Amino acid sequence: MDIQTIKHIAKLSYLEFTDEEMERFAKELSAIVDYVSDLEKAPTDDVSVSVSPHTSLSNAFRNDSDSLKENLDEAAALLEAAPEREGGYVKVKAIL
Amino acid sequence: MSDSLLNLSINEIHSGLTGKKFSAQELARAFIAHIKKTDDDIKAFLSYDFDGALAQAKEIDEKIALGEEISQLAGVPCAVKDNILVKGLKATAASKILEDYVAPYDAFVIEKLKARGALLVGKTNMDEFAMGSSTENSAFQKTKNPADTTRVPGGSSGGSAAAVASRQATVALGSDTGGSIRQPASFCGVVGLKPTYGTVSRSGVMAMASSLDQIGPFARTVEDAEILFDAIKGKDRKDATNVETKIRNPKSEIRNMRIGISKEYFGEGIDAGVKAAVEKAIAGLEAKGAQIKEISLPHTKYAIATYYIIMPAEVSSNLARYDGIKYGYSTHHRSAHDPLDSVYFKSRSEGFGREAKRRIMLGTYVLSAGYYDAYYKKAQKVRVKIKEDFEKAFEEVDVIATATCPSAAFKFGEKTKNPLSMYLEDIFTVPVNLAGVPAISVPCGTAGGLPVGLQLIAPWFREDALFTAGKEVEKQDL
Repeated sequence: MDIQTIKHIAKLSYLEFTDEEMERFAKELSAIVDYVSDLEKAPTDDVSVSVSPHTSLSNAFRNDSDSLKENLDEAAALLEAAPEREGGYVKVKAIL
Repeated sequence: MSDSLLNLSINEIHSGLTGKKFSAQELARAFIAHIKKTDDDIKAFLSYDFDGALAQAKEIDEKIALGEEISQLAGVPCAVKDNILVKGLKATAASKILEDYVAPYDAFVIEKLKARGALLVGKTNMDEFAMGSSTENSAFQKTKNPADTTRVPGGSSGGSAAAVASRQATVALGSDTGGSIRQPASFCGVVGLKPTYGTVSRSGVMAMASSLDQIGPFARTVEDAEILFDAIKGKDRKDATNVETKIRNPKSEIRNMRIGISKEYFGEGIDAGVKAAVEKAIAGLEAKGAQIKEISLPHTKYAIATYYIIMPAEVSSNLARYDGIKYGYSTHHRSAHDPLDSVYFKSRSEGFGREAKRRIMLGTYVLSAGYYDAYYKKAQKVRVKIKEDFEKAFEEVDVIATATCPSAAFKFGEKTKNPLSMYLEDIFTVPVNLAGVPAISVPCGTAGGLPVGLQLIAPWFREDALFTAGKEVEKQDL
């Protein structure tokens, strides 16, 4: 992985690095990617699914309305954790 | 008196309380005093809740005084890994990004333990967001291995393993994504169980890699691990992957139990002392009437590579929620002129530690345009092959026996310089998470004076076979 790739991936990850950190990541991630590239050799032509559900799962449905009242305190506690709030909403900075 | 309380099993605590040999408050005070005496050195805990534990103990004593029935877990001191939410207590996951975060609700497993009156004594140290195999990736402190304090306790649930090993708690909860319960249990000389995927609700545990994460118990005996497992499993509608066990009253006996030995787990790379201890334990099971059969798990060699694609991919997505907006470390108030995306960049870059960043980067890379098919999709397919290996093996055997780890506990700093060497620590534990099967690590003697763990793996939902075989291992003179 070269520095250009690291820069691109860092941007996608919303992470910032110093030049020194980027060089270290390039080295470390290259070693890991080399190692995992070994998977190419694993024969998987007979596998048709691309995900592996390992338990027998079924859809879980419920009414949209239940237990809303009991959760109001919990919702307030969750909101409480945000750095800035206004009238029951989380306030964020300008996007543009 | 108070020292002997530290060594009691769950059933001994229960009969002691109901027989009024000691009170729950005496028990709580004995453990609190022992934690205060030992934890400056071991550093198993990130935070304590002694007041909460004493209040719970008082309630139990009042119940006993009134002649009311108490649960089997009532008064049992339990430590909780810091990525599991306990309402009103800090939950940091050993990350700077959650340094001041207080849990707004209880995890499902905590609701279960509180309802049963367990004494939650504190939150234990771990690798940041459960990423690591030594607990050295904690943003706050290093936990020592009570068996040899110059060595790591394993990870990522190193604090929970060390707390149980040093008698700071009777049992503990951890989480296991690629070995994070079994490996520290092995390193510290205690029992650790990774249940079948979906058996224990993940509601209230911080998500690392959701298709692999599972909460499980630490204990000093297999019986105690079994009791704690029975208490925390069960249906929870808040976890859509949670399933109820389909097998009714499973029963297993050691006589005629077919135990599989896979050559892929006994090849090069395993320490000679570890191998000898594990083979001796397996021979002991054979002497009790178990049949030993050779089996093959041919895709084992691809397990680490598969894991280090799927896990970081899920990590990069799960850790996107730490953005400095909703909770946790934030640079929101730093400058009025900063735009929104600078809050994201700065909060995440300053809040996450090195290993978390490494895995977010790796996961983002394998999911990015142009690489998705070659890495992520391919890894999902190999995961199916690894699962099929286990399905085939379990047509012939009831349980598979391996070493939990290729070597015993290593020294601090020994593997931190080379991330890949740390990743390879997980070689025997990772395939179990990829397949979703249950596995337990049971102490089976020592190698070079350090504890060794025997890993037993069972088919989906057959934890009972692990408990049966595990109890036989405990009886052996190893």
